[in-house]
Amino acid sequence: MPMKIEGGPFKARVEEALHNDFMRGAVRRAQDGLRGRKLAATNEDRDFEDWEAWRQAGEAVRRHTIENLDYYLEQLSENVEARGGHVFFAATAEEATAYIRQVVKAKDAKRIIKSKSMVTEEISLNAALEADGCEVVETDLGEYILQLDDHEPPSHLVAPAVHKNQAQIRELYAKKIGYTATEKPEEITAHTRKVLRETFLHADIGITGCNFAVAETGTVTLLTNEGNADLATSLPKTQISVMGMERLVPTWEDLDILVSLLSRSAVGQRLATYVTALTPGREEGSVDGPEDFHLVIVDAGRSKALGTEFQDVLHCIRCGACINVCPVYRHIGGHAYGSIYQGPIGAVLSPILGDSDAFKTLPFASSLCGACTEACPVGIPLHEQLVAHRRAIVEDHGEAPWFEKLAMRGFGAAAAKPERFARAGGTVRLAKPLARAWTAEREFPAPARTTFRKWFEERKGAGR
Amino acid sequence: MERERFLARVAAGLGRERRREAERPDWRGQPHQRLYADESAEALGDLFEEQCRFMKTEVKRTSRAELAEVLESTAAEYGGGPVVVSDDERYEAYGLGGFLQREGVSVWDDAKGRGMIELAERAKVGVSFADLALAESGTVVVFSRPGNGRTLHMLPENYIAIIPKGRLVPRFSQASRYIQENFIRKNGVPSCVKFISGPSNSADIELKSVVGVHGPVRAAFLLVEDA
Amino acid sequence: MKVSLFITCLCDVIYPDVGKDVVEVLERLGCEVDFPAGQTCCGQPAYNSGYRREAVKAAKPMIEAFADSDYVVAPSGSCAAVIHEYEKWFPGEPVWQAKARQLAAKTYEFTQFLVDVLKVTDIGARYKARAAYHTSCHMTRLLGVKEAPLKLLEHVEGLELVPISNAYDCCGFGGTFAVKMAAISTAMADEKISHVEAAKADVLIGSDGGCLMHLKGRIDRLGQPVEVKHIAQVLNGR
Repeated sequence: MPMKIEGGPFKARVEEALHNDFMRGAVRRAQDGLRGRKLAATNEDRDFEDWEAWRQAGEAVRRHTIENLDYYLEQLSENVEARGGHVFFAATAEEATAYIRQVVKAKDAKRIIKSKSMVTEEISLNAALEADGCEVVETDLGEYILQLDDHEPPSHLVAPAVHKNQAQIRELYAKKIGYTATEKPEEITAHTRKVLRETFLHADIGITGCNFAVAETGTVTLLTNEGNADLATSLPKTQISVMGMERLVPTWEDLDILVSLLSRSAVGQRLATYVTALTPGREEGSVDGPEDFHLVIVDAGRSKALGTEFQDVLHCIRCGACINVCPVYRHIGGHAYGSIYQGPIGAVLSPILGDSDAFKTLPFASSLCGACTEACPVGIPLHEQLVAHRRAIVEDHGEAPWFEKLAMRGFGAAAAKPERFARAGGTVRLAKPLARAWTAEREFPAPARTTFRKWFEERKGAGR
Repeated sequence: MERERFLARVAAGLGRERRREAERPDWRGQPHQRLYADESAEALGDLFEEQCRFMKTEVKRTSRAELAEVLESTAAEYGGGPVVVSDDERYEAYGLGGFLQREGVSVWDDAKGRGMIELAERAKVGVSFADLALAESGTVVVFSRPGNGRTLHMLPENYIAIIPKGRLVPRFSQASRYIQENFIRKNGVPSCVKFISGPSNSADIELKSVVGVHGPVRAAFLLVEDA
Repeated sequence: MKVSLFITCLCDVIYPDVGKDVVEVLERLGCEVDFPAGQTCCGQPAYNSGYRREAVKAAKPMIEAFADSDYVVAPSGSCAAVIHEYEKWFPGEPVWQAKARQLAAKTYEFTQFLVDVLKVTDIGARYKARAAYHTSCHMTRLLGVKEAPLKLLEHVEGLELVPISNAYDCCGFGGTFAVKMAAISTAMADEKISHVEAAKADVLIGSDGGCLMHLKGRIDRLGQPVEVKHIAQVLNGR
């Protein structure tokens, strides 16, 4: 199953996470840092004036694009092809990897460099290419660290190795690539630069994701702070960019709005350090840039959301802002979710994209505090979509514990008849079957001697 | 999957026929069009400088007359040489002809093939003109063309951009309008449009910010006030 | 001014004293308080757990019960917020949607009603304590009431309000989440409590019975000395 990461069931992962004090401390610090940076660049940036207006503009672009998705995908593919690029439409993960493997084979390519891409994680591309005997190297610093650690899965959308500390990274480098310097991030980074520079210079193919494709020009836009996407698309002779079918905008003007929102929301910058817009057909006589350009447009479950109450989740621009404010993620970290997508967006997206039953627990892993919805730069009502998942799981699939169903049926019957509801002692008494899970960790208050209801009636009877 | 079948599936998911046209909503009055749009050139310069500092880029405000000296000294600070510069006639016009003649300075030449990239890889400094600059984000915009290689801005250890102040615009919005007017309505967009806002950096290790991950370790933007 | 009280399940059975304080404060400010007996539960526990059919069964009598009210006031931001969401619970039922809209338009959380409708911020309360205020998520994010409780507390004589860090983080109650995901829920409470402790507050004040029951239950289990009060209890302090 692509998307899924190794490990036990959700409850066991949570148990493990809650006992990992180091990870929890790291995640808390990361959240506080990233949340603070985002706020400084959005609500608190006085020049930026009206954050709400920006969000609405972002949502409008995304909504318009998805509502006309077939039109813009056609326009995008025609423009890519008109410039000499190749476009492949992949309905499934298997189709996508099969096409890419075939391109790699046709080029007789062995050395592949990648810049960070979630959709290639979704389709398990690295494993497929490695099985074909290719060397696949991730070049985003965080991703590179994880790859060295026997392909550990990412734990955060934009800060994939956030759960590791510098001492652990130093040790990993020493073990895997003979690193001898200190654990200072500067020295680890300098070493990474040296190692990866060589890899860049000799790679046959560069594989990237796609932050936003621009339909009107057939352009793939990539945002990084490290510049790895730039090198990955300048040095190798072949570029393969893989995009989720929803990751496009109609025009460069729309690109402006979304690049502004993504940079500010993901890392608290007005613009990512490197925003690179790539269109096939390098200029005649140029020495760098790819000679061959492939764009792979991937569905892999996305169309299941179209026309449903989950359609808005396709508006997501993968900024991770919801993850950085999620109090559940804060305490259990990314790996507990068991999916390559974590936090609120992961809990909404994973059950749609992945068919695994394991993902059906995720929508319940939320207190529905709404922090995610408030943080989303394109206005996806994430907490409402979590409730919608719960409803589908309970009502459409009938998957709920029997005692809960019984309790809820009792609640419905009582709540429909006010006299019965009052006699039964209201929701609090109806919830009694759940009391044990409550008192395992908390005291439960003793109900008062008289209910408010009774007090009010008596008071009124006494002439007030 | 064949394109038309893929798109038909999308249309069916959306509960309608395949769409052959779409009317873009009117974005007039949206915030991206207003932000910094009415700032004076002076204010834009200040905004640019402030934002560059935030992004760890050195900014040097200079004039045509002093540019050669500033470029010399900045290149010296960045290790002297080798230096690779873009192939651009503006160097002469900005009095930098002498700089190009200096020992260790090479002008980008695509005809050198792979050798050019190797030269850039060994270079201490890469120099190019900005085609546009964005005040809001402290950004230099460069359009790919022969003589202005993609890797010229990324491979050398340090990067210096020369920005004629007339090229400084408020933000990304003006750049996309420029691209609209000068490329899309004419011969199409350059194969690579780069927006560069400082040295290569990462916070992937314990969220501590470090510079020089893959691209330039240091970056200097020379803002030529009277150009 | 006539005000109908929506007491909410928790206040009715667990915290009737909070209800009494609400009534006394409203009456002192000149309101005539009534209690429509037809009210049940807002339906949130069922709705948020995925049982929409059961939730709607609760929403209908609620809508009927308050049909003739001028104002509906609830001592819970979360329950009041749910009433504001009712319209979405009736897709394809325009009659019920219209009724839901009418109810939402006149429904207020207690402190929101005091500040926005009655236009009072100083109600002459006295309460001596060093206190932290817990901002409930549904009240701030779904109902959009952020300032009202703080404005009221600022004017309470003898009350020293201290800020707590990460105030915006959820306390971990979340209705059935508190029992279904008890371990995560508790971890969230523990962090919240640690921030209250760090602020050296001796009282934690909130506007939502659910959050308060959860936090108080955990504080007592941990043997902490912090008291927990509903804001109505503080505002009725004299």
